[in-house]
Order: sequence, then structure tokens, then C-alpha cells
Amino acid sequence: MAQQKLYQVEGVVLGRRNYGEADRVIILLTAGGRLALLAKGIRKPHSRKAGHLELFSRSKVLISRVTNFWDIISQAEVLTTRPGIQADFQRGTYARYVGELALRFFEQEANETLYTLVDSTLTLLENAEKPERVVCWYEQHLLALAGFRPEWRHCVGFREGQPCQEELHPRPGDQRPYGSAPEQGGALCPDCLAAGQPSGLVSRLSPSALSWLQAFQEREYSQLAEFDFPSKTATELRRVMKRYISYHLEWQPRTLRALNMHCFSILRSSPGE
Amino acid sequence: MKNVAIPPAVTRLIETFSELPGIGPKTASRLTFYHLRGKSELALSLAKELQNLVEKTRFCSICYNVTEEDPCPICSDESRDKKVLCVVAEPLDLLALERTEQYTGSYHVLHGALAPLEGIFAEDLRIKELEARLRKGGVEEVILATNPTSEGDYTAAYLLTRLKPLGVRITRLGRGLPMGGDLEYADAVTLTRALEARQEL
Ligand SMILES: [Zn+2]
Ligand SMILES: [Zn+2]
Repeated sequence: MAQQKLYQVEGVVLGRRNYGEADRVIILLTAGGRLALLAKGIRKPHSRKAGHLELFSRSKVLISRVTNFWDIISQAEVLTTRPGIQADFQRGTYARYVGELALRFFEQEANETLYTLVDSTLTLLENAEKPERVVCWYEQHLLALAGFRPEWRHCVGFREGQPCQEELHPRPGDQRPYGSAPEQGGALCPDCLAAGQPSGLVSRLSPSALSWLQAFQEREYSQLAEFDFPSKTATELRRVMKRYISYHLEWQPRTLRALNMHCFSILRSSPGE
Repeated sequence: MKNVAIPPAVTRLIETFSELPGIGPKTASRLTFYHLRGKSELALSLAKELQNLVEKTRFCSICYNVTEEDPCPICSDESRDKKVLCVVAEPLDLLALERTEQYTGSYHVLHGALAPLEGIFAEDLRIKELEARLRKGGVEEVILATNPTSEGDYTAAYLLTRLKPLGVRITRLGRGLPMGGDLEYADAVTLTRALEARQEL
């Protein structure tokens, strides 16, 4: 007779896929790590679990663990549903990106900070006026947590074999661009950018984009909410961070493609901008 | 592990059955041995039906439902309202709506829902074709009848941003449907109510 154990956890649903006749596999991020759970019969509208395990909702689940089989969700109760993410394509895509990065950068290990970061980012995404700013803030904190904290405050360049390490204080009036160097893990001062070998990986970084990266890294989101975040900076950061993250992940985040296609279709539908 | 006691024809069928959605190795073996012991007529007719399915069915060139004749019976039915278009994710959802015997408009089958994490993007669904159909004119209302789930809502939200500029009325199935369940399992009464309670987007 197989051993059966019951346990209860709270988590955020980051992934789902159909399984069997009317079941779903649920990827649940909890403070104690990531779980892949089987929710039986959940696709039937009258299932008591239906609606309690939608993407990005925070739910309390009772799990029965049977040796050598799936951990099965025997009860689920939703705590936060986040309808603002479900009904909005842009917020929905950003939320999928938040989930994808968390699943790609981390394995199954317990990480309470990661859980709190993802959960609070999803809450911000649902309510914030500019979801693109929430995503930029999240990227910096997730990279730090995953051990890939970019160095945006000091130049990571080398000149004549010596590390530069110049402290960077970008000003809006700066004449020359800075750089982002994923391989060296951070920013380049204008001199190192100009002196360096041109590389497919290095991106130019405007003074405004660099000061935003420093702020995202050093501040809480609430401290940034009142500053103007121009859409030009948002677009630049999207491009720079895509390159940075793809390099360290050795993988192009998939959800970003939907983001790019969406931005593209918005650009097409508003030619005046 | 090679088992010489089992003929290759049997192993091959078990392997083929287990490639079907929702069928694990245990069920696959059970189905195989059923056919081995059961009536040979059933096995042969099953083989023939499957062959017919592959050879005779195709997608309707208007609505992309599966059909034996093109256009499909619904698209060529003069009595169906061509001004109302119901967009569903799968042919099974269309079947569920037909079971209500209340809906008299036409359909468009997307063949999936948006799931960028699983690698399913807008270009993988029949959205371009839907857009082209609407551009041709004649359609006054599009009912988005994707599942009342995260995936279905996300697909509907995308369709809304993409179709809104075309100037047609866009509605979504009413919330008589409980969140989280799939359309294909909904009963006819609930579905009828959801159709009646559809809301403008
Ligand atoms: Zn330098
Ligand atoms: Zn048709």
C-alpha cells in the first residue's frame, strides 16, 4: 500500500498545462520552492477547484503526496485572483514574462525572497500605472537574487589591462553614451565604450537609461513611482535588458516575443506617435 | 528492456497508443490487448475510420472547422446568420455551442489559445484568417467564445486589441460560465445563458 501524506501550502500559479482527459498540471511557486502538482478534473466547470488555480492567482492548496506518483491537489482556495492581469493583454504578457524569468533563473530550491518578489511584482503589475516600469524594476531585483547582479554604479571596463572602476554619475546633459556589457556584467563609462572592441554583445546606453537602471537596482518600487518614465527610455531598456538577460540565461525568453509583437502592433495602429 | 515474448506488432501498437493525449503506457497496453482478444471487426473498422479521418477530412477554408466538404455544412447553410461570428479555440468548443441548438450565427475556429510560455503565439493561430474575413465586410458582431480561463481570457484580450481597429462590435460570452472550466465540458443550459448574457467589450 502506497504511503499517502497530506500537506498544505500557499503559492502563486506560474504555469499550467492540460493533462489527460480533464486534468491540469499546475506549476506553483511557494516560499519553500517550486512544485509541479496535478489538479484532477479541474477543466470541468463544476469542479470545486476550477477558478481557484488560474494563472498568477495566489492560492492555498491542500496536497496529497503519494510515493512514486504526482503530488495531487485535493483542495484549493484562491486568496488573490488578480483580474486586472487576466483582462489586459499587455499586463498579461508582462506577468507571463515575470513568471518565465523566475522559472528559468531558479530551479526547485526553496527561496522565500523570490516568492515575495514574484508575488509583490504581480500585485504591482495589476495596479501600477506603467506596467513596463514594474517589469524593469523586477528584472534588476531578480538578476541580483539569482546571483547575476549587474554593476551599474561602477565601470566594468578594462583599459590597458587595468580595471577602470570609475564611479558613474550619468547626467541628462552627458554628450557621450555609456555602454552595457553583459559579458563583463555591467556598465561601461563613455571612455571604455569608445576604447573597447566593437562587440555584438555591447549595447549603447543613454545617460537617462543608465540612471534608471541604477535607481531600479537601488530603490524600492514605491520610491520611483512618482518620477516620469519616458516611453523612449522604456523601449531602450527593453532592448538592452533583453540582450543582457539572454546572455546570462543562454536562452531567449519566449514571452518577450509576444511583448515585442504587441509593441509592434501598437506602433502600427498609432502612426502619429 | 526487450521482451522477446511480445511480438513487435503488439509493442508498436502500445507505443503508438501512448503517443495519444491522455493515454499513459498502462492504458495503451490495456487498449492493445483488448483489440488482441476482442472482435477483429472492431479493430478493422477502427483502422478504417482512422484512415477516413486522415484522408477525407480537412479544414473549412472559411471557418477552419474540420469538415469533409469545403465549405463546411455550417458555412454553406443559407439559414445561418453570416453577420454574427463566434470565435472558438477548438472544434470541440464549436460542437458544445452547436449542442445548445440556440446559436444560429457562424463560427471561426482558432485552433488553440495563446500561450507564449508554451511557445504558442498569435501567428500559430488562425488569427490572420479571422482578420481577413472581417476586412471583407458583412460581419457586424464578433463573439469571443474562448474558454473562461486565464489562457482564454488572455487570447480574448489579444483579439480585442487586434480586432478593435476594424470597427466591428466585439462581445464576450457572459459570466454564467464559472471561471476556470473549459467550454467543451459546459452543459447546454449554462452555455445558452452565457450566449444570451454576452457583453460588449
Ligand atoms: Zn571605464
Ligand atoms: Zn466553415
